[in-house]
Amino acid sequence: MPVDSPLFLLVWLPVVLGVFAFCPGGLRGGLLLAASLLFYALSDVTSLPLLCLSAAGNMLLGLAIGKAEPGSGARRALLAAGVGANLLLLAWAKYFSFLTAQVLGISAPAWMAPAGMPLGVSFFTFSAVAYLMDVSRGQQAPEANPLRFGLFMVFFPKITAGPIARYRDMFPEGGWPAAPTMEDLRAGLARLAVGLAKKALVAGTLGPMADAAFGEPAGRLDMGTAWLGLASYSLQLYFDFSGYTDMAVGLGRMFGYKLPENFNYPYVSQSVREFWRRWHMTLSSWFRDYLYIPLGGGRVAPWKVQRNLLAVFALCGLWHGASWSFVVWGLWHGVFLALERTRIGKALDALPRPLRHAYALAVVCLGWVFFRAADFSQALAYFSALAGANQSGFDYTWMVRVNRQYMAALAVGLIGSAPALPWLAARLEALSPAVAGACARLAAPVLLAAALLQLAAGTYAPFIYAQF
Amino acid sequence: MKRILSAASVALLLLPLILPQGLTLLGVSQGPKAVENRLKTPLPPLSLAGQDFKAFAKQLTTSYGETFPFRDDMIRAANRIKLALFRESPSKNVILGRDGWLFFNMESALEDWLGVNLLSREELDAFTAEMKARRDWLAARGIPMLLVIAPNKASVYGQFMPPAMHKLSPVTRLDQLGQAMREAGVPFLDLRPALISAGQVRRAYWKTDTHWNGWGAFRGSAAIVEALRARFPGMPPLADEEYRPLEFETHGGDLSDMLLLTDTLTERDIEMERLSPTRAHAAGPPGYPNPAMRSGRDMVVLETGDKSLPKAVFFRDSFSSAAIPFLSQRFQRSVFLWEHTFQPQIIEAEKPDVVVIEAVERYLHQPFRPVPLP
Repeated sequence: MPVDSPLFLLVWLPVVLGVFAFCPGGLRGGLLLAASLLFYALSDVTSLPLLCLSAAGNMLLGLAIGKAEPGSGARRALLAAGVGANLLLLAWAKYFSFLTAQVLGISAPAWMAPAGMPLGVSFFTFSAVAYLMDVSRGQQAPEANPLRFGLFMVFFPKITAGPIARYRDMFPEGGWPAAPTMEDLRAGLARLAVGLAKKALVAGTLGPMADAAFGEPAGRLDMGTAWLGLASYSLQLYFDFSGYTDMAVGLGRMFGYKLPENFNYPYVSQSVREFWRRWHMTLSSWFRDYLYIPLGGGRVAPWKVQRNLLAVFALCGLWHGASWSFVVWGLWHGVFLALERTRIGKALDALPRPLRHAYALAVVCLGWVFFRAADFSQALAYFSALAGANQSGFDYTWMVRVNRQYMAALAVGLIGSAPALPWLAARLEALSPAVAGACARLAAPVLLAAALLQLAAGTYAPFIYAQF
Repeated sequence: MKRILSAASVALLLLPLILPQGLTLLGVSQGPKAVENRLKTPLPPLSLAGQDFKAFAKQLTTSYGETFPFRDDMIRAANRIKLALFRESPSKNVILGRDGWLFFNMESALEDWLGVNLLSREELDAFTAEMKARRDWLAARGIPMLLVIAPNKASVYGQFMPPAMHKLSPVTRLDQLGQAMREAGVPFLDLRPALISAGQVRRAYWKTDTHWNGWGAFRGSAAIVEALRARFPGMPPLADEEYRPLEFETHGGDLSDMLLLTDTLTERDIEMERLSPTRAHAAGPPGYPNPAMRSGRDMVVLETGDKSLPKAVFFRDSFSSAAIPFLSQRFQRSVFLWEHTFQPQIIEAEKPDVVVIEAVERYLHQPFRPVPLP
């Protein structure tokens, strides 16, 4: 049951909100856990036992780690076992075929393979690993309440595609969060509206152009279509994924939970380094805190820092999908991050600001070719088209695929990917707080209604990030 | 005050989420249902949840997405808003041209007009071989054959395509096919000249539908009859004087229906009224089953009883539906099969004097589906 499906938006959400509103405070955690389990069952019931096993196992491991003496071998061994078990689960569930067929070159018996990739396995596994490491480091008290820990693992707004919440994000005070206020409900619904509109109105309208460009056979793709397709895909990916995050954060807030932010206008970055501080922030901070820094971070020899960056980003690429294209995409970013730590980085920093933006945008957007292409050879063919190998054919794209609705979505996408709206809102607020307030309050219901109409028209695509 | 504002905002935000289901629970009736080219997934029985929860959940999500309350009204509203806002078709399947003309954008209809889906030499050779074999098989039985292609709307009314669109090739699939058939000696009738000429008298196609109107169908039929008269000189031509045109306001055609805007994008239809009583009457059912692959595509068998006229079997598509009343006047017996796949067993059963294979331009490849001949 995708969160942008009519069943979720028009039945599931109103019913759960209604029951939650009338539920006694002490039972609300249990209600949300039950609702989250039902949500997961409706989405991927086959993997529900695995999710429950992971939740139970990680809670027990967290308790055991918490009981072991800090810094002791027992604690380290328990942590290693816990992290190892989670990563093994992830490797089996997501990378079985890739590892056996493409890395090891063997054909494993069919009974060993998973029935399918469990929904959200990359997200809940990384949340669990973060929890175990935080407990081991003494940064997080182990949770003994199975309702709370269960909710941390399976909370429905984040289970499908994150954000990768840490335990302290959801339960900053340790116990249950305070009941949501009317303002929480309003802000949550408004955020949901913005997210759904980003997904349905912008990403959904730009998607077909990206699909057409990346679906064109090698040799037939022309330069203009290739660039338009790449721009469309870059915006589609951002609006799709950040729209999902907006919905998740909004849903969390409606029920009193503060989920972490995942995006901060990544396309305004002036370097690849800055991009990763603004894009999928919960994933990049996970890799920073639990892999890059333990490997030495930026405090080791320069060649080691660069080696670590390449290793971390190769794994980051692999996290997104079981294929060499994703590894290459990760390495692409790793190479530029490593370069930015050399004299080249200093030279880039000295460039005028527009050139720094252009550099970062070019690296990021060209990197999406590896991310979106079906395989490495298609990616190379796409680069060839971008470079101008085929100049004819754009007439067809311009006449058939480009229309006013697409152009409007492209314009909204370009403007919305920069912090133009917050800037405008601040100016309006300074001029007339009443008008600004009224606009803000009216915009969200209008966006929600428009997004629902668009969804009804059936022109939406599944969330891209749900597959990771 | 802040609390009241928050409550009002919450109410406004909840409205779109609870209205569709809520209004249904209150018994508010929905607008007209959309006719979709598919069967909608029914809600799963609760018993399925116990037997196969995964299948239950999937069917529940799909079914609700296809049938949730006021869905069709919401699509209609979305299309109206997009039409008003962007002044272009709200659906990728339909093109909004100049002066309210709608054009089909599926099944390669646009590519046909642009000339970007040309046939390869291999395809043309295969088409030619198939049709020559069929022609020879029929000739061995003394039956002539005529292959007729009815033009897509854009091929006749290309001047009403959107201003930003222009042809990308001077040659189209239909040009290629016509040349190949003529070179192979396959009797071939391209109805474009007849329809362009008809359009100079009055509009020959619906503005809001993919098909020709009554006038276009009449002139198309007249051209077919004229082509057959070379072989059957006793067959009278279909003359304009036998009919009179009638114009009337009606709801939009299939293209405006695809936009769910039949009430907004209406049409001035042109029908042809026969001045004398029809000579063709329904005959009894033939002794073979209807070969049509889809339901609702009934066989039509008509007889005038005039033994001076030939008997015919037509393989056809929806374009012939409006032509049947005209064509049937010129045959002793006419069998209209809503199917492009050649049916030798029906030819053997009917023993017609002529076989006509009609296809609209966007389906021009359909009659060439290989069929083993006995």
